[in-house]
Amino acid sequence: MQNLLNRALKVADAGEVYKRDVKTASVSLKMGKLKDIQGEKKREVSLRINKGDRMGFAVSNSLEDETIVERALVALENQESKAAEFPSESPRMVFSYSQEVEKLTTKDLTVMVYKLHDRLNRKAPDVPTAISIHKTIKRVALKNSSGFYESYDYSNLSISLGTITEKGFMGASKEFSSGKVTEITDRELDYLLEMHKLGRTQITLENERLPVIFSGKVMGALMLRVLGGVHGGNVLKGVSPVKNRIGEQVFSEKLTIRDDGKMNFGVNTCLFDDEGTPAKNTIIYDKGKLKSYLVNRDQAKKLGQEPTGNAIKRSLFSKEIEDKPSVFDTNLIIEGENREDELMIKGVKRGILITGVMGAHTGNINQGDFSLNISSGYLIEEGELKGQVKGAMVSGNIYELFKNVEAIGMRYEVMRSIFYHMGYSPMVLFSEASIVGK
Amino acid sequence: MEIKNFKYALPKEGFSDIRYQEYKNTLIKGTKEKIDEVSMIRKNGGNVRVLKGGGFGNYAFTDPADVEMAFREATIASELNPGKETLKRVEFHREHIRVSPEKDPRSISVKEKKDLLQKYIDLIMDNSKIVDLESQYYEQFTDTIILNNQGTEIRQEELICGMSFRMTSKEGTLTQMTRLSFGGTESFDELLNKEQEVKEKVKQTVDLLHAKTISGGNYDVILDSDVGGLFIHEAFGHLSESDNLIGNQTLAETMELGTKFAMKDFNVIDDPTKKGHPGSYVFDHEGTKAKKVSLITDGNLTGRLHSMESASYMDEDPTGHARAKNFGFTPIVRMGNIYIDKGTSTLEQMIQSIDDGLYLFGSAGGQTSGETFTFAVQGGYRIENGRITDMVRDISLTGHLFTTLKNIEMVGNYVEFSKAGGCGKAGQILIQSGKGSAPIKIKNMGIGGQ
Repeated sequence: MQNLLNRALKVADAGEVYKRDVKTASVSLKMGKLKDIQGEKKREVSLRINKGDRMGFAVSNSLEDETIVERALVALENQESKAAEFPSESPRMVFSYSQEVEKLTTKDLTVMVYKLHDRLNRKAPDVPTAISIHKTIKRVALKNSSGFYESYDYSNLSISLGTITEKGFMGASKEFSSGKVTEITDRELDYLLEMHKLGRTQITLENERLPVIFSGKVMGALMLRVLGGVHGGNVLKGVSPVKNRIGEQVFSEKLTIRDDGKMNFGVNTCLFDDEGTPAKNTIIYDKGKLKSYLVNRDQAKKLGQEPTGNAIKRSLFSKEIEDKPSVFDTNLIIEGENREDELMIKGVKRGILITGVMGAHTGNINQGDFSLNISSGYLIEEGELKGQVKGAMVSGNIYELFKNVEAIGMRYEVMRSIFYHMGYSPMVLFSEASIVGK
Repeated sequence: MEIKNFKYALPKEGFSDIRYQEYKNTLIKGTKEKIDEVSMIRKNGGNVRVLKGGGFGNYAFTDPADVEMAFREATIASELNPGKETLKRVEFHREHIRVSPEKDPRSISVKEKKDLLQKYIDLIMDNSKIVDLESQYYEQFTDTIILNNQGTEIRQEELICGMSFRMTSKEGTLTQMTRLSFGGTESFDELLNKEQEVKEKVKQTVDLLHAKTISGGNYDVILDSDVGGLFIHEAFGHLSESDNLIGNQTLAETMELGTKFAMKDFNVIDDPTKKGHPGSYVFDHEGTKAKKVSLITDGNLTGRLHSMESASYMDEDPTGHARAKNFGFTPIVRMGNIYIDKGTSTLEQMIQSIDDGLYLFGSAGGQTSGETFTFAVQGGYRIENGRITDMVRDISLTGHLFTTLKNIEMVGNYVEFSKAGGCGKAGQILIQSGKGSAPIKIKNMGIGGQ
């Protein structure tokens, strides 16, 4: 890394070399038969240079790439991104890595998927299933000309469990994602099978306004919109609905949202972000009151706040390095006044529990609009789940919906944005949302 | 990047292949004012597969020195899968495909590309009602070697460039967002002289601020060619990707060839060999020659899209539709250029046939899961008593695949293709995915409004 930095500093005033070594393995089992088994060992490298008041950026997968400095210079000369100061502050320790996960071989993962299949099969021999396990190990290092030279290890084990309907389509599903090996309980398997069974009773709704419970996983679709509002870049561009609203009561008092890059073994836990800012625990909304935006170093300077450790080299649809660091979530955490999940459902006279949606990436995300197909949702009547809702949509705007939080559940699930996981949330009950039925 | 550096490592037993790729990507991104990012990505890497046991073992790598290790790992992975699968339907080719665009974007300076993008940015921002803009020039070039132990030796260049814009208009607290794309081919020519299209899209984006909202419910709708392309991509195209059918007998029965899906005048084709669209190519990433496939003919299911594996499983001919985002990913079955072929109705006849409905324009993203699909549109117009009336906004659609296909009542007499594609599946966003359609009329479509 030092050699590349030295080469860069021959043409630039300051430089930063980022290196990420990634190893993955994934195994999936569908209807009791193993599907493709995949593995990967890749290196990703990126270089940022500052010269005068400009910044340049280039990507490769080798530290020896002879063109990377030249490409960063071409970028620097042609773009108007201002140089951001490279940090020198050393980060403190986080728990982002488990040796137990790294030691799992592909064969171990194969045994794990079969065991999960057997457990589900013993409980419900007539229900076909789809199970997948994905293991990731990363070694991330960052060296810059301000004297910062740090690295950290990361591990993740993500498990997806699903059932298959009588017509061969995906039925109920559950996802798990953690930095360490976690046991899936019988209760969680029972829940999955119960949801599958409910799918056999199909219910059509009218167009109506109903209380709605979003499951922890599905809260990700709404949190994408929350993120669009507190994204430092959108605030600076003036397209955030919460621009200049720090300190204002924006959401219900029952809701607190934070972004915790330091969370032990979280799905996106890191020692430092991809600019070298140490991971932080940032309260975004404290009891509904807007407390902070999520910002990179450049945006922090412009907005007069501290960088929050959210500069990540990825895009909405790719975890490969394709752009300069942009603002993304680390581990978004939703918390507040808790109520037992079962009690929450029991308290609903007529409403919907939504456990799967489509269309999270459509509509005006930054403005908070959503119009989601309920791909998996269940009608609740007099506190009981009655059957699966067919062909309905839920639509609205999070700045209205999040004012109407009734209760927040207890059991945390990993949230899904579109392709990726974005933190953890329990189920959340909103007093009313617009449902488009038949 | 030489074939001999990889060919020696191919295991002889069972089936094995390697795809090694040099990948070059140039992105120029603009804000509402200026070009704020130029990104020049260069990556190389390989992806190997072995079929020795009961399923494929795959391994991706970036260091060429890892090629033997990658094959070892892929062999272990394949053997972990009980059984012994073989590929019954494999094509062999030896060919070198080079791109030869009319105007090669690689020969044009970054400054020239930047200036062109800036010209369009300035034109869009000239309207004071436009408050935000994300704009992008993209150019992706790949040089790929595909080798297998059955004799295939392909070297193929692929090139695509284009521009895309997302513009937001605002009045009071109301905002509206639309999308505009040019190019999606290998030639830079396609990006020039687009001022008129830009102006029309700006006007439409501003006009939407005065459009009406509609109540959610069921409507008879006409989809324009762009939306029709998105509809067929989401609602049917993904289901025609036959990797879904492997090991899933119930779904295979649902998708039995000959099944009646739609009216007689309804034809759906996927054609990667049709030149000049985002999903045009010669060989897929397994080295199979791309083929035009008639998916629905006269309303009946007549074909599907295949990889080598799915073709072998279904005992049908490979169609050359296994593709990957880049070397980091294994090839999966993807659409090339999918489209609803032209029918016999004029647009006027279609509009006149509706008493109370909607004409919808401009795709804005969609998704499918099993039998249901959803997608958003940029806007629309009401149709009242056979005439186009008020502009309407904030519309997304949802439906059940098989019901919706049966509800298609009229197909327009011309086909237009979208200039931008893109599709996400199994964590891979593939920009080389094209779509098109004749305008279509669908009765009783579920619309989510306000």
